[in-house]
Amino acid sequence: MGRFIVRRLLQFIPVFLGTTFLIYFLVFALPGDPIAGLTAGKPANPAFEAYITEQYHLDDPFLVQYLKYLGGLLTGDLGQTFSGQSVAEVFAERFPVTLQLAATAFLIEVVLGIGLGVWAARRRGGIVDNLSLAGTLIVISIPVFVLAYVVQYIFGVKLGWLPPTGIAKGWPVSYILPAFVLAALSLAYVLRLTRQSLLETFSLDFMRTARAKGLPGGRILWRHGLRNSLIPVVTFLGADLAALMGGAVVIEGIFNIPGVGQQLYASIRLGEAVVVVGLVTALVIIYLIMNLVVDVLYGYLDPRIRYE
Amino acid sequence: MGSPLLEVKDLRVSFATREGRVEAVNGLSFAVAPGRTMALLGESGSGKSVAAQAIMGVLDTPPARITAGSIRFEGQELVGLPEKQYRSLRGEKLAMIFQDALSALNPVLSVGTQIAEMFRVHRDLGRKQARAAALEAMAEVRIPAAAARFDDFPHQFSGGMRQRIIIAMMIALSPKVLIADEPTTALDVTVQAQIMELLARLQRELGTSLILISHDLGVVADVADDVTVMYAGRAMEQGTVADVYRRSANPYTRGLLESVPSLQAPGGRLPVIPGRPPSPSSTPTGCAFHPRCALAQQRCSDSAPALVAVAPEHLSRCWFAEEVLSGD
Repeated sequence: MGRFIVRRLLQFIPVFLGTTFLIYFLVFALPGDPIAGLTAGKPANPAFEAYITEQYHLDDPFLVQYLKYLGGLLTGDLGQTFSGQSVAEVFAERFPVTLQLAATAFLIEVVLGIGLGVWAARRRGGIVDNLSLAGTLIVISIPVFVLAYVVQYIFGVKLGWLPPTGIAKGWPVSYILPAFVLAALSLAYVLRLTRQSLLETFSLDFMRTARAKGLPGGRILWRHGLRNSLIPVVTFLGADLAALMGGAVVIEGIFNIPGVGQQLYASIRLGEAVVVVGLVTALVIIYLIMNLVVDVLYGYLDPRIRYE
Repeated sequence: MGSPLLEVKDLRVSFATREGRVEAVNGLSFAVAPGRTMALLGESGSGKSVAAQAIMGVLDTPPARITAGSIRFEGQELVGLPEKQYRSLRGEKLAMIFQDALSALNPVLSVGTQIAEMFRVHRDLGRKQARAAALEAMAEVRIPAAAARFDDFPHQFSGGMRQRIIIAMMIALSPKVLIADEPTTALDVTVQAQIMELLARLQRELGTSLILISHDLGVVADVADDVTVMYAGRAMEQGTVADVYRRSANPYTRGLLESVPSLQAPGGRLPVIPGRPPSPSSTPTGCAFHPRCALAQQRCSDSAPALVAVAPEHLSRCWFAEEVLSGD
């Protein structure tokens, strides 16, 4: 197990190099001149132009630019934005916001998704089952931004229960609406996956054994049923937690939340390679870590899985 | 037979299917006295396992439903018993072991946990005491190095050991009735013999009544006191092993006995019963066995014979039971 984790961590290195290279290249290949972008197309002050060119090695060939950036990373220097703020500062400012948003969404997804999924499976064909199947169908079929505007209007503007935009009121109040919208789609999948997986488990022989042993219903459901049903759900949740960070880009825009997504969007438009590469690489690393956590969790959920 | 411990009377179980309700058990009656072994013998699809699950109260309802009949245990009616009371009987007084031990064990819980669970739930023992009790049960069924293997998972055991684990789990609380549903079918022949010996020893030590469900005439002859031969959800013949095996009064039982290879008369083709058992959705009219029966007459397809006594405690369901009985 320990060796397994170490080997997986070592695999992060090539992935890290590959990702940074690819993203750097993509930003480099973007059409448009960063300096023209900064001055809105007007002729720039030559001193300013020289400063930016020097600062970001814009005159160097692509590979040299990339290697200089990597060199900076190794010495702990993440670079600077065009406006002179250090990228490390931008991270410290933006990531906690997005993490809070994603974590809240994840919590909603896990608690409501698994909870309702279990309920629906247990009372198959009952009210909760039918309502949740219809509800998830609606959520799956409408685009996220439509849902976002609808809940923003209803709960934020019409009813005024929760702030419609911004994070001025802090966690959790400001985060509930955006987190719910962010979680909605995944919540629908988690619910359906849990329900389906649990129904399949119900039909297995060992569930009959559990009944023949005279165990109480709750113990049969949670201890014998759910644990066997959780593997596909955990797979989905692991991949999804990372996807939530990416999905935050749209949601942050709609709800005006100053997180990674908004920063990423702005930096791509400006052609700020160092910021884009840094943010995306961090997202990739988070994704890898989540995958590792899921793989380790598998072994806990299903002892038949061996780590080679 | 003394006063019965478990008495099944005119039990009917039907399943909801796309073609409507289908009878899987169709008026089954039998009784088991304390410490005795009753075998339910029959081909697959004859309703043996459904009857067993009905007794345990673990039928999947829906689609299955007990539509008529009674199951009495120590005089208490089990059909319609509230789940909470039924649950306290299961594992404690009534227990069941299964054909496929691998799928009958929970793959993600250690075997020790699954055995100890019996003591934790039924006896309210703490973790440590339950572990000690479970280790005792594992030793009782001769699982070597029980303490070392307590935390192992079902897939780490051999087929025979897995069946021993199920047995340890189910005899843990010394039940009064143990139902064994084809307990050795999935095992090697040598392991089969060990498991049957184990069951016989436990039965002697605990004084448990055993309901052995099997299609194996040899196993039944070795272990059982009484036999109920089942066909299409009905009892075709019922009596002591000696009566049924030596003085069978039913053409179906005779057909089964003749299809067993014998060391005394080797060589030649084995006689077989022509045709297949009917599916529960298309049971023939009259006697369910008549399309496959060499003795069948018009009468057999017109009306169904009743299960009648041909001798004390020896019953047969055949219009020609007397003739079959005196035929040899």
